[in-house]
Amino acid sequence: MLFADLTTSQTVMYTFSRVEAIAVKAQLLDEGGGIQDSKKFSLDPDITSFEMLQSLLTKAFNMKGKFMISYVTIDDEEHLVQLSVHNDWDLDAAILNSNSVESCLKLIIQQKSPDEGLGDWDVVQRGDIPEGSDRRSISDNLVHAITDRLSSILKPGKKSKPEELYKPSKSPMTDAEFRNYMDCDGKLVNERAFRESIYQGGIDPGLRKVTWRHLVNVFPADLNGKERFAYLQSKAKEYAMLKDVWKTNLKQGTVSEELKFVTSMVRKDVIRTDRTNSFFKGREDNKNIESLFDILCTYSMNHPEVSYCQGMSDMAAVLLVVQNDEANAYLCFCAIMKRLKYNFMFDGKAMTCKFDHLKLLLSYYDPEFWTYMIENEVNDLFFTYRWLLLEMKREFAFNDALYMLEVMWSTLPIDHPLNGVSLSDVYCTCNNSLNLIPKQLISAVASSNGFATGSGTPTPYTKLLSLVRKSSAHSNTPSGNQESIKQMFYDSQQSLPCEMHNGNLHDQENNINHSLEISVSQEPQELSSKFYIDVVTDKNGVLQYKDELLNSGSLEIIDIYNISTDVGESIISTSSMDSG
Amino acid sequence: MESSSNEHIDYVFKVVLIGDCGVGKSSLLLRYSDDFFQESYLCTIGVDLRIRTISVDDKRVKLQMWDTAGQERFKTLCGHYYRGAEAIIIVFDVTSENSFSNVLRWYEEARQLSRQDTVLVLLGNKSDMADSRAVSTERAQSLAASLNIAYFESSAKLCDNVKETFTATTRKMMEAYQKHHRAHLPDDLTNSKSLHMSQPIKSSTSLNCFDCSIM
Repeated sequence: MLFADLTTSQTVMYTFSRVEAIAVKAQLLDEGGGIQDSKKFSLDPDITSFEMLQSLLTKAFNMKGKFMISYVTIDDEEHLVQLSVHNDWDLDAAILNSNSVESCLKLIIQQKSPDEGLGDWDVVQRGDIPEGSDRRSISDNLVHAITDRLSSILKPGKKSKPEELYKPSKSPMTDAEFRNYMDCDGKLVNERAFRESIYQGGIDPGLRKVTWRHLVNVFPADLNGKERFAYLQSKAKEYAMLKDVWKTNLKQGTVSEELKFVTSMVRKDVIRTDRTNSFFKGREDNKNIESLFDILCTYSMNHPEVSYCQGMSDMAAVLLVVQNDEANAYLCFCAIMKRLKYNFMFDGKAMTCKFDHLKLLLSYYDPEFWTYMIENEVNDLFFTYRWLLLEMKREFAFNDALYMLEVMWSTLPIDHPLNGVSLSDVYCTCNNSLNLIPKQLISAVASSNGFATGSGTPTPYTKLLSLVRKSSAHSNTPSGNQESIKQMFYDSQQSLPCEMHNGNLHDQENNINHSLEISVSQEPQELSSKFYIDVVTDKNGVLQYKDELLNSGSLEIIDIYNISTDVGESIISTSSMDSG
Repeated sequence: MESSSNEHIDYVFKVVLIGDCGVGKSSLLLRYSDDFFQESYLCTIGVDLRIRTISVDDKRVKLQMWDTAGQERFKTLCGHYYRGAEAIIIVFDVTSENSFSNVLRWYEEARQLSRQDTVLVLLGNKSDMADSRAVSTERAQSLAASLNIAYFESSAKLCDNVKETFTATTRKMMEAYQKHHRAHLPDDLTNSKSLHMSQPIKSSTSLNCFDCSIM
């Protein structure tokens, strides 16, 4: 084993790029935990990658074989904890936290034992494992089952207890195993195997925080560790701004009916959501309860179509406990709500559909039981409402529920958000600058500038906007379509002659071709790319679709959030030429 | 609690609790069925069921108590339970003016969706919080009188007047039952769908007072 002290040469601010150099003091520990060797060196956080650190340490200590690096920091409860460094992302986090312990960061690096995986158990802190079952526990106590299992692995001679009721087909995913699914840049490359593993054995509680973000489809595809870090940071910034909007309204007393309703409902529920869990225990001004309140209010105010519905607090609480960070929990919440929001909607259509499916299943698989239910007039299955709405979350003790949820979620399709998870239905970001523009304002600008040609005939722009609005009003498209829609985007781009890219017109039998330029901003910002849509209006300015892309169906994917102001400008020029 | 697996049951009554979010419907039922109070109880999703068998005037009565979610969004679902109910208890929070002003809405809905012989009762909960009381007993009483229904006040927290409310409501249900079914009493009730005047009910063995919450 090896211990390394990183001493920062200057105070580390939140933006680590300001630090020019970090002094590293590394200590190699032997198997018994004693100091075997120690070295001092410095590194430049801007250019040092995880790989470089590894090779540096290999050289410095003449290491043979694989070894693991972890650093020591202080957790929220002021305890010293060890966290593993597996990739650039972790390294960034380590450097960010390098001033947390006596202005130096302690790394624990461990020679990889032949029995891979056991070493990782070192990093599981007591606090990482949620406390014992607080409600009806179905599988006795999962944590005990896991620890029993662990001790039977640690001591091969010891036989596992005969009363072991539940045995997952494999042990929970550990740090070491998780790393196998990533390449050297920290890109998650073997996602299918990653999910299969979770399905078979769940996730080590200490690893949930990181893995759940992948599991609930928070990241766009193919991000490496560094990009994910930047993505999370930018989303956290965006969340802070969204939260600020309604908070300011509250402070200034400009409280809309909706805000009044949402805050009072959410307040009533957060003080009775999982309060027996140590995370939310104690007084009502517990900061975690406040975080839960902020997450739910921000979501509700930014998703007026969903607003707030009881039960949402249960789902958000689970994510907040696991993420232990408000902004990240919000991001995860938005990601799962993309799928779950229909359950919570006022019209009840999604729930009705679920009941129907369940009835069908039951009558098919157990006709005898189904007949019994009909005889007893419970065939409406309303008693399963909570099961379905909360994906069984409340039917298990909290810890068991975490395990159950991750296993269940691992069976869902991989669904990387093309341009990152949208945090709001109301606001869009413009030119990646994170300036928030209310959606209503954009449509207002469109109509006030008199884009309509002649007697109220819709211009491509107004048509486009109305389509986008329409699509966001009933965006029931299964998200699985994203891949094919993305392909359509590329196809359309290739089919267009380049001279049409800047909003040129082409008169052909009185029809006018417009090329609309749409910038789709991807996070992180460097990945921003532009797409072009080809549309045709006839001589009266009525929109004729040339490209399938502009059919309302395919337009649904153009989340207003992803359309930058470039579009507006491009279309403005098109429209003005049109009228002239 | 008071029921054994093979006992004789005279009546099975369905009681539905309705009212705004957070007025204490679940707490009242938890107190009544399990004699337990928790300051921050979970918000109800959909409907919850609790069962208790009691003795009123020498009759054994099994109460199926349906706890409904207060949020508007669950209304369609909860409304479904009104029709089968022998009693609907409209609960409000005496410290919340808002929950009191919504009583009328709840009343109208209950009247619309329930049967003619369904007993309606108004119940002001959280009577222990005298300092933050917003609705006086007199106001609540006069509202109840204008609706021609009974009014009770209780504290689930202090276990004050909870049992009495349910007992009184049960008595009213028995009266209403006898009034509507006098012609048929006592034997030919086995076919009655809405009300089961029954021999020991087989399924009751599994539905004892504890742990009967199916949702």
